[in-house]
Amino acid sequence: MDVVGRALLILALGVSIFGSGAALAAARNVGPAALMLAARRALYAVLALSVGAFVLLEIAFIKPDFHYTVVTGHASLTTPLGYRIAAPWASQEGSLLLWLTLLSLTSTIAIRSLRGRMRDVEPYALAVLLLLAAFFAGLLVLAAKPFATVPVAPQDGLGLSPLLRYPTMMIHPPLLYSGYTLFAVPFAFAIGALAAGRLGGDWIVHTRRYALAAWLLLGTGIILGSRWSYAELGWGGYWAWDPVENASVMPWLTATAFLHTIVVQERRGLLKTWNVSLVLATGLLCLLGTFLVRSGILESIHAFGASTVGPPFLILIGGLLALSIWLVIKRRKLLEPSGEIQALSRESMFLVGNLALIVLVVVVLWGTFFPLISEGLTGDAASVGPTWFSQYSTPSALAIVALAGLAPLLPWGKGRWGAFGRAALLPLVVGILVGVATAILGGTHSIAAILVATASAFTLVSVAREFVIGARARRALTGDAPPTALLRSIAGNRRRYGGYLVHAGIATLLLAVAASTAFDTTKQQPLRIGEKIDLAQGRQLQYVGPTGKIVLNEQDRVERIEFGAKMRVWRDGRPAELITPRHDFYPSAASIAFGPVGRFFEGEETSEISLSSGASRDLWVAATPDSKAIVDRAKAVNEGFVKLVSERNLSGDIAGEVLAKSLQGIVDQHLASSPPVITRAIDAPGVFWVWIGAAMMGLGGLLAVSQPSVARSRAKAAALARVGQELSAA
Amino acid sequence: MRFTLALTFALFLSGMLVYTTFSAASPERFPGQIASVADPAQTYRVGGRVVEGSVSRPGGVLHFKLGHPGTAAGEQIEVTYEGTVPDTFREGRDVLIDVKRGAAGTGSTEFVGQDNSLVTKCPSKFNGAPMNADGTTPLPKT
Repeated sequence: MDVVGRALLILALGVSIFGSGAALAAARNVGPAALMLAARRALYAVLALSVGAFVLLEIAFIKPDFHYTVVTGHASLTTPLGYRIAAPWASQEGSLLLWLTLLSLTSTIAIRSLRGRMRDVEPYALAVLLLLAAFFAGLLVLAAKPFATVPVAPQDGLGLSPLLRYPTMMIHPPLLYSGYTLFAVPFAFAIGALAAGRLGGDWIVHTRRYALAAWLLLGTGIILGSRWSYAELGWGGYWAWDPVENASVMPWLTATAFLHTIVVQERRGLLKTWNVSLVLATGLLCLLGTFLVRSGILESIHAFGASTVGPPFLILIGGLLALSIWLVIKRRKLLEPSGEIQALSRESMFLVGNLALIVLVVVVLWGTFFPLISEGLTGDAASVGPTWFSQYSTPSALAIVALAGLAPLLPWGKGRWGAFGRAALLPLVVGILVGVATAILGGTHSIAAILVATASAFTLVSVAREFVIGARARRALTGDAPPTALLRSIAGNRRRYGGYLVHAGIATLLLAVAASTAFDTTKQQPLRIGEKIDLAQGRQLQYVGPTGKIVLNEQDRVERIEFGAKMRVWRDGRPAELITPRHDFYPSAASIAFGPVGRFFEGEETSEISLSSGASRDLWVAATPDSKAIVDRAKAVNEGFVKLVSERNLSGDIAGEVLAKSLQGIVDQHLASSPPVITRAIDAPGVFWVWIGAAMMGLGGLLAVSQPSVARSRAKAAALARVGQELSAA
Repeated sequence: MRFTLALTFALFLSGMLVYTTFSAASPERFPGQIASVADPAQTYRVGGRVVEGSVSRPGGVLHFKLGHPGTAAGEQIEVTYEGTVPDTFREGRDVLIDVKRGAAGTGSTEFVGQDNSLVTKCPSKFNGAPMNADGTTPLPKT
């Protein structure tokens, strides 16, 4: 099977190189006319080949077949089936294969949906898409080989890192990759439009839904990653300005920018250079993000190990960047605007919002790569932390959320100050009232939080006002009941109201971020049995006692050993719920280095936090026992076990029973010793609304993406008109 | 006019970025580079390996020694840290941490870890090393 897998990838590489060349030749009118058809078929063949290779790899993980080095490195007999299915994208090789598969899938959909339109642009776009496919197929054939095997399979594999054993692992990476690969479509069509000199609105109309879908998938992937981090990583936060987090958010921010300004181009024929540059930047940032995760050049909790795929990525990104800049300069005359933006208009707000987003992207890019910049300039790899990022992201976020409320209040073209003042009055009053209430209730120690609360409330009221106006207009026309009028007005313009819902979502999310970071109570201290920690608003947390358990998998092998803490939450002096945060030990495969007993305590450790989540506050608790004491005890038991087995010459079955009793003995000793636990508790307001805000953004994105494209609407209208004409003629 | 304004804004932002990053950034050092010469007023980002047998948690506060394989004891630093400890923190693992010289001052090798700055480097975390055919050969831990 490995030979078939390798052959499929080699074929994918050859076919994509041929297809890219054929498409380019067709674009330049070199060679026979059938070349374009051959290029399209090459793309479909790459899709079939990459899907085939991915299925083979999945089968190897599901079995699991330890002949494959990638399976040995990321799965084991104790890895549950669900995680074995997800394990391919935990590896460098599998994730690159997933990239190729998703890229060829999205490219095929984009090319097939053209249906004869944009004949000048299509060959160039296809050449770029197949070039990207060839690059990833080349990596899989030459550098990161998913079908590499060993002649004799080991008895077991290393298993999936326990940190990755979280349900989100099944969908978080595929969502990110889907977002990245979908952004390749607008990128390729932008290059195609520039190369062909066809810079009208066609390429934007065709690719907008792909961009919107990519924005939605990438955003969903990012937020699921945040939730994963919050619930699994044991540090109690949802965003850490980690290089790989930053790499995923940068293309999302540039995409947010161009999804606004392409509307300006469609309506007014303005900002053409800006839009095409943003689309190109988004595509390049997606590749940069992929490079960051895979090259290992920056320290990150997400990064794969150091590898050889970095230089090829740099060459690709550098080449495409140079091509993009050259094409934009070459076509600058075709990109000239056909008008001007008025200061008081919706498009001016879009542009200022864009600037705020781009400033944020520049800041994040600079901060992320600063260790490399600093090392290059000074010889020292210095880095900046969350405080530095917050210094810039807070004012940018404030501007973005305020503009999300201001833009809907202004018309396209030229607004009037009087009308604007009247429209802004209610949102402004509510915003100020909320700001004052925040200062009174939360204190004035965080001016940024008060300003974000004011801006968010302003935007929420501004957006609500738009929904009310739309429903009223519909009701006046049709006489519908208010809820029906609201739903029908939304259904009639899903893109517009989807956008408004996204604005309301971002306001809710940022308000929640401000509340949860500025007004949280964080305590970390060791607790003995019976001791309490004081939290916010009369809550307390009491350590009741330790827990311990050996967890076996379906094959009766030890999957992990859990050491936890029973903790009682007290509210206003009365006992409330009982929670049980724990700390798990996963076995190491290195049985000789750590011994038959020691290996069960020398693998990875994870904190499984307890989360009591409510609409107003979250109580997040991690409890860590003294790992060193447990490992030291295991080492001592291990010595005794090894001595006993060798002295008494115990058979395999008896030794196995003694081993099981030894492990249980370690757990029992731990329980009997009434050990203290290091407790970290975070009592934070509003975290729940971070996820609600994100859900609103996702729903808004779905609503917007569900609206048929203008081209399809026009085609439908034309077909209806033809039917109408034929009927009237009959 | 607008171009001049945009250029001024871009230059101002660039200047701000460069200034604030260089003034806020913590240079990354090895323990041996700061053990004896660290400026008490400066925060250093130090990367090294947690010395075997050096980890303890008296009163819940993490104490450990940081060095590099094969370096002399004098080139190690002793770190006291009260922030969040990553699950992957262990003796023998490579870590990064922001530290300041402790109260004992120059000449001492005692350093204080800054808030929640401890990061465990584990390059093989998502990239398992290949095993031998019998599955029993010891594997490197990181």
